[in-house]
Amino acid sequence: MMRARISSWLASPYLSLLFRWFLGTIFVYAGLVKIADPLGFALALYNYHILPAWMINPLAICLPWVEVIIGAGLLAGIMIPGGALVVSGMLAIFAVAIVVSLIRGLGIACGCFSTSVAAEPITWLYVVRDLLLLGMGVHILLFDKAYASLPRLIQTRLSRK
Amino acid sequence: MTAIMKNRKPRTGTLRLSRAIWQGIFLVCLGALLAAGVNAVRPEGLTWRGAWSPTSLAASQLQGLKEIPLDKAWSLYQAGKASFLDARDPVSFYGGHIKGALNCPPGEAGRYLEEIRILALSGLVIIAYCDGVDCPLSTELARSLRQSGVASVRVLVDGWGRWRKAGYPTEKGNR
Repeated sequence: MMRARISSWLASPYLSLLFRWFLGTIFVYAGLVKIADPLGFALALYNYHILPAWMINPLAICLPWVEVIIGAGLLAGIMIPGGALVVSGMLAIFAVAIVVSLIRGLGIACGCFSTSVAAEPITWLYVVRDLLLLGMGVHILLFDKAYASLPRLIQTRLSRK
Repeated sequence: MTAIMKNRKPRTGTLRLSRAIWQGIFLVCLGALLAAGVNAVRPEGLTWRGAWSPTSLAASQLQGLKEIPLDKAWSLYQAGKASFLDARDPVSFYGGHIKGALNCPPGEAGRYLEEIRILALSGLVIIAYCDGVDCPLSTELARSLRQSGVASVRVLVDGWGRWRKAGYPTEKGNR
């Protein structure tokens, strides 16, 4: 009984809506911070020493805008499955990059919500945070029912008329 | 009936995943297009092919700052005419640093500003360093100090690595 209640709560579309708004806000904010300082973000990417040199600038240019578009999509409830899939994929890649850097002993800044290279160096807590966010992304992908989404609101309005 | 239900579930799941993939591709392309457009018109836009080698990075980071060669830094150290600022994080500093250096990450420049100003006024050459040719911390610290009025600050590029390799005095622990 208790188990069924917990699992129904865990699979709740309302919880998914909460995660959608949370991830959406976080991704819009993270993207805007990086858009404001493209060189700083490129430097943060370079410091990971994972990407080939030719990939750094294109990624520093495009990734922040993809984050903003997807974040805004999640907030407004537009293309939710696509947004959740990309968010989850990005978070999984970020987690791997942070783990690799920690294993290699690089005391670098994350470049996640700040482009300053002097920001606090990454720790295992960053991996935990990333995995929690990844869990939210997967939850949206699996259980979201497009509650409070702009297309649905418009559709409802139109059908009333 | 059960068979129909069994067949239906994976189909819905596959449909959802396939829709998610196509939407994801569309969103990524839309973001990239928008990024390319904005990057083309904004003055601080990046070039698509950046020069990301350690030496070119060190040169670009040094822009407007004065570099000090290792032998010059060493002779000033021997003469007691230099004060070294280690711009790395406290953990790296604890693990080892130039003997007598002060740990001053760029974010904490304000905290040590008065002390550094007094050192500079007393005639000491202020030398900022970190680890690696492309380490940006020393240049960031030097830039911040220069903006705060310590104009004589110098940067020892790849300071920690080169100092250690040269066998010059180092120490461990906090200061």
